[in-house]
Amino acid sequence: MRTSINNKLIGSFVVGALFALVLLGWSLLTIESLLSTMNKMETLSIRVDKTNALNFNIQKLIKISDEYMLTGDIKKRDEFDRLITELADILAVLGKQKGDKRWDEMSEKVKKEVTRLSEMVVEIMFIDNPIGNKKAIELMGKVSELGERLIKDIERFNHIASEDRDKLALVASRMAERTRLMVYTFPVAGLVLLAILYVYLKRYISTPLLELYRGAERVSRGDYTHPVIIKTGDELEHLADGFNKMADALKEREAKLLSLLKVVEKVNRELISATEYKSRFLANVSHELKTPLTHILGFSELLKLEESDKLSGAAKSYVDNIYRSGKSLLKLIEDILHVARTTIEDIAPDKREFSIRNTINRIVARLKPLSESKGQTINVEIDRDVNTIVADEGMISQIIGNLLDNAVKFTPQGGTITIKARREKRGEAETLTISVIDTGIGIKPELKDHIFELFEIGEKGIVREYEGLGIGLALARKLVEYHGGQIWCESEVGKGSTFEFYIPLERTDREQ
Amino acid sequence: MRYLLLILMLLLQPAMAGGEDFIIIVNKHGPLVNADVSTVRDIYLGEKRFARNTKLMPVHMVEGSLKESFLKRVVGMSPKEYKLHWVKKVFQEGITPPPSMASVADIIALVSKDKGAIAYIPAGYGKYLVDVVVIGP
Repeated sequence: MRTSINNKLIGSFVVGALFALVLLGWSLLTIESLLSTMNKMETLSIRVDKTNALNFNIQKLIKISDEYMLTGDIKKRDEFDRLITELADILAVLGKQKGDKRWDEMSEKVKKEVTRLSEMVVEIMFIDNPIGNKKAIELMGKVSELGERLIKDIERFNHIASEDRDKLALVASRMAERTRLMVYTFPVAGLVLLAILYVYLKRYISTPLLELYRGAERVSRGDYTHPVIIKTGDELEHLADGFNKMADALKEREAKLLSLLKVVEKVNRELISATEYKSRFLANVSHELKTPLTHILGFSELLKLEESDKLSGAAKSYVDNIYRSGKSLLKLIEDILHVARTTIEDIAPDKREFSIRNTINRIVARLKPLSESKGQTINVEIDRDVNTIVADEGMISQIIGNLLDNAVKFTPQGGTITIKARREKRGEAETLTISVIDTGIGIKPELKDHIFELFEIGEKGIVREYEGLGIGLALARKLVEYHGGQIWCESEVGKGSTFEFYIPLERTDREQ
Repeated sequence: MRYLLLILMLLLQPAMAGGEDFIIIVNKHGPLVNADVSTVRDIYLGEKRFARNTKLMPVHMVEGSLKESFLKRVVGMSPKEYKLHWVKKVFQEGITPPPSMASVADIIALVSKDKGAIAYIPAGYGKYLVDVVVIGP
């Protein structure tokens, strides 16, 4: 890995920071030199001003002594005090302007000469009658001479200071020019730098990430033809390599899965046709079985009804047995036929409006002779609001009939069977719930889950007492499911069982 | 009231002629109340400039015989010597020479107000002074 993303980000930050530092440094330098130039200019201005003031006051000093010589007015002595105080102030200010050796020497020299000049003026002012006094005139000549020389000296320095000031003003204006250039240049340079950084970061971070995103999208669409190509030499390149490897692995696995799926589909098709074949076979067999059975039933019935007086007691009971067994065999065959048909083709329930109350009563009436012969009681409890429903009447009566058949079959002498019908709300839907409760032998818990399974009963080793359960429950479950309902049972061995199912209610014409 | 009267009188009265007699006055509450002649001399020569944290403020009468006799008797210098002394002082040490005032009333007013002030006035004004003490000669 040559450069990590982190290094790139740090690099960008460092470039930005360096730029800011350069900007700061240059600004500080410029401001400092501007300030110092301004200070120097101020110094020079003070020099120019003060040398001018010095000249003026020296001229005034000469004038005072001149005036005294003309008038002899001793008040000039008081004026003199004020004047030398002013001169001393000016010299003090000039003396403070340090840093220039030539200037220091000059100001020291000027100070001495001003002192001398002042002393000479004092000499003149204390000559009592100065008008026409010889000594005074002589002194005055010296004063003028010294004064003129002094003024010339000071003027020279004044000139130098003025020149320096002008030069400095030029420097300052150049500096201002440079500052203006800086003010224009730096923001532009900053923008250019930012643009470069943006392009750099986009190229090395944003664009590769986008490329990865597009690659992921292609893979999620199942397109493995274009690998993600990133050449940034950092983590992103590694990520892209990893991504491509992952995509290859996915591609391989997908191919394997697809071939497996083909195998599974083939097997499934074979299984379906095998089941269909089996069911068709069952349907044909049961149909074929029905024909001889009809003969057996017909002849045994004839024997029972028309030839019974010719038969002995034992023979009569044999015929009865033949007839009963034949009937139950017929029922079994019909059930098998029914189940086989439903397996071969999906049967849609033929939904019509009918009175469930009447259907239940009819089935109970049909079973009554058998149950009464076993001393059983059948209770019917149909709620008031249960009446007309929309469903396949044949299927519903087959479900209820199967449940009641079983109840009668497995309830001992003197037992009670109760059938209940009620409306119930399940979630959003209005349902009809029907329960068949018996006081029979009950179902063992381990069998409870299997009694609704087709052909399972034999395999699970149903004990003798459940013989004859048949495939009625499996059929019942199929029919309930056709209606979009559910069937289940609860039971306790020796006490009895409750079979319950519900179907969603569709609105009858009357309700609509 | 008395002070106002004094000013009026001074304004009306012309300058005292031939009054070479002078008195030295200082502020009544200032540090110079007990100053002696040599101290006064040092003050006028610019040698002593502070007393008890108070800046001293010597004042001259304008050029004339009173100033001359003060310089002769108290400072011990002729006016010319005194001037030359101050020329050196001003340029070498940067000290301002004592200012001169023409009006006696202004001088008295200054001394009554400024605790470090010291001045000399014609001897005849002695009886009008308020807040001012005569210490000499």
